[in-house]
Amino acid sequence: MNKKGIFDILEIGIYMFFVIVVSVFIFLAAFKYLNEKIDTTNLEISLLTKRLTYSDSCLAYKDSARVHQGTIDLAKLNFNTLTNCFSKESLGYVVTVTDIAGNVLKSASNLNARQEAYLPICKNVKGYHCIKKKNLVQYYDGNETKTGFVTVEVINLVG
Amino acid sequence: MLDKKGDFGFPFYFFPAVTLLVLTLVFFGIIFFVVEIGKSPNLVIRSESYQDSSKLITVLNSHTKVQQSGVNLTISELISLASEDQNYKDELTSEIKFLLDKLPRIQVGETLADVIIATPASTRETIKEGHWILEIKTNNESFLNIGETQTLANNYLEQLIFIPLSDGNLAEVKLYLNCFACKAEDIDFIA
Repeated sequence: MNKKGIFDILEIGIYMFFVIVVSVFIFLAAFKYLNEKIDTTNLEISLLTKRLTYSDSCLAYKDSARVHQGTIDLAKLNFNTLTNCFSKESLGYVVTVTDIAGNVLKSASNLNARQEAYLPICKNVKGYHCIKKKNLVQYYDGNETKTGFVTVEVINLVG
Repeated sequence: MLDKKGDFGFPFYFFPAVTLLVLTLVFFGIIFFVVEIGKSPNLVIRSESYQDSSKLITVLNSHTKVQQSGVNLTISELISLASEDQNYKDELTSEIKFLLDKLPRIQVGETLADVIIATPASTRETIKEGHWILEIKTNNESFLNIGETQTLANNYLEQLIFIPLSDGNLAEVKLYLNCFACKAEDIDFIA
């Protein structure tokens, strides 16, 4: 190889270095957009709350005439009803009904052992996102319908 | 510019070219990684899109302390009564104010994960600019307006219901959140 040949190799090497730099940049930009984090926890808790309070197969109070959407039957609030109402492996939730003064009337959940352990310390657990949402609802306590709150607390494995 | 001994022009165009390349990478790096120009702000549909009139229905179906024939009247029944007898207007106002204070409110300035639903007694001083407003109209005229509106504030989560009155007319009842400087995520959270 002569001097010109060595220079050619060096020149090509420098060009290749910059091609690699630009390629890595394009790859990083594409990777960032393709792997954008999509967190649907807030939407899921909204839809879950509606399902819980509107569906007869969940917590909605039903009498001989009709299903009272937006009215929770306290007698239905238990583990079995919640599990049959909505189950998702990565998502667990706690449903608490309180009266208008904030006194807890009844609470139930469908949490597994890991979710139950992580829920109180959710902020410090990597990969989990927890949200608590409170809504004004009516509830049926066996005698009459009253106004209170339903609080749905969700623990979601987001990866 | 090539000759037998190599490219003499290489040093002359190499450095400007490298400088131009670095500037281009820095410019597009800022656009893509800092400004995030291509990022969609609405990747996930907002909970607000699924909101209905459930809050207003619950308010209207709530029982009050006002009794008639030994039965506690609901808010909607009290509206009908107050439209005929103005003496009941004050009681209606206090009952509705009590319920509006109980509705979930926004703590502006906190992150979505840190938002705690406000209770009137303990956190009123931390609530910035989000108030629930309830308006009642009868015969297209304003009958009752409850709640504080803020200047330069926007209205969100509007819910509208028509309820029958005892005189055969309809009362238009509107509930909405009046909020200044509220973010979409905050509105979503209480939708």
